[in-house]
Amino acid sequence: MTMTETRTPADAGSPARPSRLAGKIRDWLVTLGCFALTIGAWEAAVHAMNVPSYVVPAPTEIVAALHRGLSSGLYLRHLSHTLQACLMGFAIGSLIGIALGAVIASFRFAELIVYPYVIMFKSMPKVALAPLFTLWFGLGITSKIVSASIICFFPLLVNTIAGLRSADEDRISLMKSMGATPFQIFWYLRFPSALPFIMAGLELAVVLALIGTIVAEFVGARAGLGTLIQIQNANMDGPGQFSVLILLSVIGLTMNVIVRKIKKWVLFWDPSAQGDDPGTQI
Amino acid sequence: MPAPAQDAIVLRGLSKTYRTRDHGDVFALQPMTLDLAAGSFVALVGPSGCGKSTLLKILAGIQKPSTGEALIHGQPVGAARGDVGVVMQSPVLFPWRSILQNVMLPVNVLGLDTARHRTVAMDMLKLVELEGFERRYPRELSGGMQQRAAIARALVTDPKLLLMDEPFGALDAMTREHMNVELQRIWMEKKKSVLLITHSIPEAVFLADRVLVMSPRPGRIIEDITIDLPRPRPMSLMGSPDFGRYVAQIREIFQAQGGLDA
Repeated sequence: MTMTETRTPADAGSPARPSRLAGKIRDWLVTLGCFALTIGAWEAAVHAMNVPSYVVPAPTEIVAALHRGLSSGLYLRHLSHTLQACLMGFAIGSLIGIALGAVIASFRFAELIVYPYVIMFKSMPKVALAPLFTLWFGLGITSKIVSASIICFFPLLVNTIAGLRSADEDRISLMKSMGATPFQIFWYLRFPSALPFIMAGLELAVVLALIGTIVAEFVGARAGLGTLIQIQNANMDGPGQFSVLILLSVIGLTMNVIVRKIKKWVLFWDPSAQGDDPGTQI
Repeated sequence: MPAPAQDAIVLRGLSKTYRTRDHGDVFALQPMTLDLAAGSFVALVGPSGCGKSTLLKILAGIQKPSTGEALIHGQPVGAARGDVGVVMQSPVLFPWRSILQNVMLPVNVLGLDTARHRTVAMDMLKLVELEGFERRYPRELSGGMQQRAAIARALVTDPKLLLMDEPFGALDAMTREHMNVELQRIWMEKKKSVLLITHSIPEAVFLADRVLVMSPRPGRIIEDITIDLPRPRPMSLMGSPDFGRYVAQIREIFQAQGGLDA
């Protein structure tokens, strides 16, 4: 701990930077210190009260389980099944959501035909469909992909429609005055106008995709982190379950960070998309 | 161009009626007949809501007239894409396009030769004094600079007619006067027909060969005043007695109509 408090000689040179750097170091120390304190209290409490490890394991046991699972290759094998289904579901569900959203926003008859079903399914908890998907598509990757994509589909459908309709009236008029075709108005104006909405939808969907995958694995699958948690639960392996939960949160966070990076890159022109506020984003 | 000396704009009994739920049919424009000579600079002044923007939208092909027809260079509106450049009250730039890409938008829409028009676009940016800003994005430019980019965009396809709806309304007084001088310079250089809609009587007198005064809604043209002042008109002209007489004359017409916002 004392190491972090020493300043490097390079920082001592300029008068403005050390104070800002010192502030940053202090912030980090507060966060890390409290984290260390919480973990320490947890460890102490578990030992002091003799809590059985299948109820709440000690942090040291969780780390050991994580190390065991990762080094044996067991976690990575299950992780690859989960991640594959999750990413494919995310991609498929998002693409269908964007495409159908574009069709609904562009053609009134499509809205008339499709919208009643959309309204009906929108408010339904999509995870409740997982047992049906297992029945229809079996214990393999297909039911997981369908489950993940269904849950990704709606935020993108809704956001794409809202985004395409958000195009500025004056810009539409201007394009009409240039003699633009409806497709040109879509391509040059409506679609770029919808991108902030679509990116917000993707940010949400990537986390939802993981939920959809894990639920599908709970309901029935041959492999995957959800399956692994259920096996560990049946074996009363508390440290194992906690270590997989940590792994899942790392995956969720990583995917979210990647999508946010892509969002900033895509929306380089939108100042409101450039802020980084991890606390409120998830 | 071998085109015959044709009027820039011809209106034949053009009118516009809006159908509303609460008030029945609302006349925006009374039937209107008008010829505007090619190459002339015509200003249209009138109180808010007199339908002058409606007229411009019809000429720009954004709205359809209820009756009558509008011809631009002898052709019905919308027949000759790219023959009309429009500048609106706000710049209406696309934030995801660089300034050059914004100026090139009409070229992309019309499917014209991109390489050749890039040179034209750069020339237009030079004309509106935005040289060196072509790779910037709209939010990096001030309001006046954005509006100049919008003018460059309206000019890039070399349209014969420029339609301008309160193009400098959102600018501060200093920038606005500067833009007036610039617009005159561009017009004299490019020899286009211009229809300028404005709230400002001095702006109309300073820029136009002909000022059309509209009545309150339902709009119709109640006066047609030829401004006989030599060009190029310098800023100092605004202090001259001749200039003052034209402004006073138009203002009186407004007052007689009960129009206050001019």
